[in-house]
Amino acid sequence: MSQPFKLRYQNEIVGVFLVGAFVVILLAVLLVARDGREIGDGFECEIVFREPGVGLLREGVAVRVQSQRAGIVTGSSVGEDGHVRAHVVLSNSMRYAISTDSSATLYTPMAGLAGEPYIEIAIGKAPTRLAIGGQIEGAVAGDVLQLTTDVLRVLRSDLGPSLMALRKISERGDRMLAKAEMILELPATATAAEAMFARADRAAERAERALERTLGLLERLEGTLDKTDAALAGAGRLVSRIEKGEGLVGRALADPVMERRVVELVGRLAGTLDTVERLMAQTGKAVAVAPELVAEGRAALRDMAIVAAELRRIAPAVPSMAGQVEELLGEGRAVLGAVERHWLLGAQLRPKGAPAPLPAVGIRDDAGAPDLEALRRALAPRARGAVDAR
Amino acid sequence: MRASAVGFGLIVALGASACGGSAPLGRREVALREAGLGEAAMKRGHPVQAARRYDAALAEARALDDRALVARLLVDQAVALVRAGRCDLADVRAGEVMRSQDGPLRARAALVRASCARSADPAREALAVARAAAGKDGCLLATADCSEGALLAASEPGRAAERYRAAAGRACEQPDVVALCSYNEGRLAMRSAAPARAATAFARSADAAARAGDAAAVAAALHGEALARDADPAASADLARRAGHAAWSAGRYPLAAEAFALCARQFGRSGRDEEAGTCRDNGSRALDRIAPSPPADGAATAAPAAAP
Repeated sequence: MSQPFKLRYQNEIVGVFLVGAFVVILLAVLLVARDGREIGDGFECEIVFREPGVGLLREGVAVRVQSQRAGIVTGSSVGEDGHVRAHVVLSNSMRYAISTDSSATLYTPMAGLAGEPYIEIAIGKAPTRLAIGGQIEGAVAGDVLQLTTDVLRVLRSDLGPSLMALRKISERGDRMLAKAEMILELPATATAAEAMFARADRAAERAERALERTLGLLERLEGTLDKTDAALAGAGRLVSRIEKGEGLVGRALADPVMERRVVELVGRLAGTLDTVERLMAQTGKAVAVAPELVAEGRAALRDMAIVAAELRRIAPAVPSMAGQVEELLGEGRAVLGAVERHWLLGAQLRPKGAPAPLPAVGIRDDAGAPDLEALRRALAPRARGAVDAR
Repeated sequence: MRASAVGFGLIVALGASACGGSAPLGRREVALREAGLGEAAMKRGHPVQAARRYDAALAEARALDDRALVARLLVDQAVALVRAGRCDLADVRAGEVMRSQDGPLRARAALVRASCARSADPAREALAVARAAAGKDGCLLATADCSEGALLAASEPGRAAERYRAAAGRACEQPDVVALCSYNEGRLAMRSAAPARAATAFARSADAAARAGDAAAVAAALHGEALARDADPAASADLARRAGHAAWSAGRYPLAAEAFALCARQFGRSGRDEEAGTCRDNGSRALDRIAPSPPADGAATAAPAAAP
């Protein structure tokens, strides 16, 4: 009982440590076995790099699919054709994911200085899966630092002038916007447009009614002319009978004086008939064409109505569109301002000289300030239907 | 390992210099940039914004102690302030330039002072200074001539006409000068009861003012032409309506109200009551911009009229 705790439970403590160590070792073995199985149970394939400049490709380089580690490079060789072949073991889980048209890209770290190289496989869309030992086309990604340098060089040489042009466009757009604002701020533009559309509609309706009335009148005129034609034909028959001396009237008109008068009358009637016939012929043409005209007029009016409706629909959106454009221009200006302040591009955009001086001002022979009260009276709304006394 | 560390260090240094190492613009560049933005604002018809830009440019130019640039910016700001209707501030700037400068800048500053003068005598004095400082600058001399003509128009129309003829002889084609001189000529013709001549002059003025991008001058010229064409109500009404819209866009609400009132009257004469009513509504809105009309009885809580 007088023994200390560690001596009294010496066997138990040693036993617990042993069991713990055993569990840790077992877990480690299991983990290693699991990892090994993932890779070791994978399938082999080849990545063929046909382009020169394949660097940093060595055993142990990771292979990724969609940024997830999916395999490892087990070796590389250069074939007789001069192409570099990377021998790769991919995890079995990728067996059915990688198609025959998949491609691989070897990414190297910045300037070969920092980070590890890796191969990224982009899965293709072909329905056939990559066979064991199959080949994937490989490519080498450009060096990131070199790419960045190239981009900056291009930016410096090309973007500067482009931004200058963009700035001019932006200013021009700004001026256009200002003008658009001026138009949009015009007093009662919307009301005036609405009134104009309403007037156009009313005018269209009036024109349609007028055309319909014209058509009716033409039809009535045609009927009247038909009747006149019939009446004149009857008169002609009567005159011919009189000329032959038929009937009571013919006999009564056997007198030579009467005969001369009748002959003159017949001549006049014949002339009148000719005139009426010519008129009828022309009217007939007009009547034939009138329905076409009316139809075309109606179509035109319908188009006008559609256009008016479209304009009415678009009109409310114009101010918001202008607002969006202004916002866009504002953002563009902010970006340009930031670029202008930047050491790399600022030199291209900095003002080279003072702008042109503003024009001078002079004294205008303006009339004095208007009498506001008089104006208010002149502009007071009037009762509907009131007539201007002037 | 060592190579990697060196590479990493290089990349960090490059990133820092590219992303964060923006060198600020120099004072002169800032001044020129602000002056350019001021000029752009003037071209857009925003003299108040332009005056603010010139203020920023002036601050930089003063810090540089570049007197020539300061004087130039002061004159431009004074012009912007005159357009914005702040003659009190413009006069101070013009005075500063006149104390320190000679030549065209002094002449332009003197013209600003003349246009801001409250009475004829100081205006004539300023015009004399402008004439003396303008040298052989035909446009500055023409501006001075036309300004003097405006001062003489009411009392001595004959001499005013002489001044305008002298200005025409300067052969200045600058649109703002042509707009000013033609407008003043139109006013003189109206005073002489020669509406046809006045209408021609006002039309020329409106055209030149439009080329100069001065909406207020366009409005004044169109209004003058509308008055000159009083005998033709339809044409007069149309011109007055255009004048009203131009004045509204330039923020000259008294002129807009006047023009819309004329438009309403002329459309009423032509029997076009609907358009007359529209002009009347627009004129009322312009009047409300000057001084809101008192609310009608029981309408104290009524919503304000929608801005046109």
